[in-house]
Amino acid sequence: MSPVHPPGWGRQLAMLTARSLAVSSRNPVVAINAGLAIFFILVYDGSLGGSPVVSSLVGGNYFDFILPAAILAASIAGGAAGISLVTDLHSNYFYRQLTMPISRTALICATILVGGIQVLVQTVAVIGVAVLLGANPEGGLVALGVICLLALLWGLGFAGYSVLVAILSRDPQITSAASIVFLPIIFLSPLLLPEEQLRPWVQTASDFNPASYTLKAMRELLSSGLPSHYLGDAFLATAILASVTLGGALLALRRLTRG
Amino acid sequence: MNDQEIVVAGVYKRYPRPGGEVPALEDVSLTVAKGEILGLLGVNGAGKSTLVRILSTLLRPDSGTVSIAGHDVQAEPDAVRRSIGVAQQEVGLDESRPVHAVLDHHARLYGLSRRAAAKRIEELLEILTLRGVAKRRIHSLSGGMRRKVDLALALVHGPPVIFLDEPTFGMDPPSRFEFWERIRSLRDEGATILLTTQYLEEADRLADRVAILSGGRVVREGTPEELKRTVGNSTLELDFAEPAEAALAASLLRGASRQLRHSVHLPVTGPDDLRVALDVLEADAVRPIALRLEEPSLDRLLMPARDPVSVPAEQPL
Repeated sequence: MSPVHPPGWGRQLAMLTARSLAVSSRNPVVAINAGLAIFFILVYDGSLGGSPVVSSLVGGNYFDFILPAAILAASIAGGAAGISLVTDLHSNYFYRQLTMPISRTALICATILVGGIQVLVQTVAVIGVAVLLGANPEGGLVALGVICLLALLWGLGFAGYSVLVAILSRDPQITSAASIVFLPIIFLSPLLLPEEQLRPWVQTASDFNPASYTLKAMRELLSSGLPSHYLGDAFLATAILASVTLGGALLALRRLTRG
Repeated sequence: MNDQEIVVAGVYKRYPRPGGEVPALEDVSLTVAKGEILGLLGVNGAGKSTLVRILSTLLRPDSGTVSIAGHDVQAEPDAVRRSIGVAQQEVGLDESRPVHAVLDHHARLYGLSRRAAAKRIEELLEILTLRGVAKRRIHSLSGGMRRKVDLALALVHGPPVIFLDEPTFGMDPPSRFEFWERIRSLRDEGATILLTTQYLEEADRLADRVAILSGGRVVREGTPEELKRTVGNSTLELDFAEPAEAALAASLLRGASRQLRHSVHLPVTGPDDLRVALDVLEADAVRPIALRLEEPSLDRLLMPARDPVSVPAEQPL
């Protein structure tokens, strides 16, 4: 055989991502999470959307108000990235990959990217169902595209977190349970009511929560489109989240492979 | 020109455990020449898998140096990974995907063109008799088939150096014999192979040289024949109908030892010893009901020395 010349980083990333997508396409978790996210908006709208008091509190249609929360809730699907990785660790397949001349960063980035893509797919599904059910995004298609981009970044951050936990714990149950951190993150934000209606301690927590900036930006994009006052902060917050979790995952992998 | 494809020099590895570190490898040094099969023998916990993990860049040694195909595993891990194919003790497979798709994915990651990958995969499916399962998902395959797929993944890029960590563990005998044939062919094609095994017959039949690892140290090294000579002589095993006959035979034959109640073992060096022993017994009308000549085996190198069982005739077993 001629000497081995592995493809470049970008090609490796594409091939590893395609493989992870093929594996995850057989996993029903994406459809289940999308169903839960849709259930989430239906239940909140059904319970609170008919109340004129609530509508006045949120300053308009409660359905439009709660839609970004459902999109954010869909990002829990990013946790599937960690489960996927821990499955490969347990089947020993991950270690086989480590004996190959492929980039460690491509290996981790592909897993995280698939988590982000899953969140993106769910976001599109949730928005589609919401529009069919009567949501009226004033911002138009461009605003919806930016919302999808924010959701992708948010999904990458959450996928990075789950991959980090997977590498550190190498335990499917711990990796799965780690998604619970999602609850305080989304509830310590203006999830159900505008920020000014929250108690002061929740407002303070919300100020340090990247989910708050993402929610506010998505709501603004839905209600009035671009330009968005909150968009810069939202991209910054989600980019920081994604960078920190990706960096953590890569460091954890380095520790794992240093032996 | 240096024709050593694998060079391990003074490697130490310790694992942290509660209450202190546990040594896994202690000053391990060995070499494997190009086109040679080195059998690495050892019982569980001897350090075989740790050494393979270091050689395949999965683990760093605490000290010492390792080079594969002229590349240092710590300084040039990517160059090492391009040169090696690894079949680990626990198969590492992409369980939910079809065999062909997994082989193609790996071939492409190693940089084979689509056409070269297709040709190589066809070869491997043929050689390893996997054609019939090429479209099946890996989790649906038997243990033996999964081992073959794992080997195919290790060979897909035609690596010059191959590490096989207990590759036939769990295989049925026909699959094992078939596997051995394939390993010999790889060596004949010029591959350098390090094979760890607990099957002494496997090392005896396949390896050009054998290194015995015990407690993290290489305690013996040589060709299978050289090592067997260090083990000692062949043993003549004689079975008797009555324990009293066995006891009498043991007293008549110099150097013989009693084994269980009805058997006697006698070290012999050649046909003359055999004839003399039978003549001595015949002179006293002591006739064995069965005879076996046990050739020296590498088994004895792995087993702690055991004294012959001394059994009083009156004690029931």
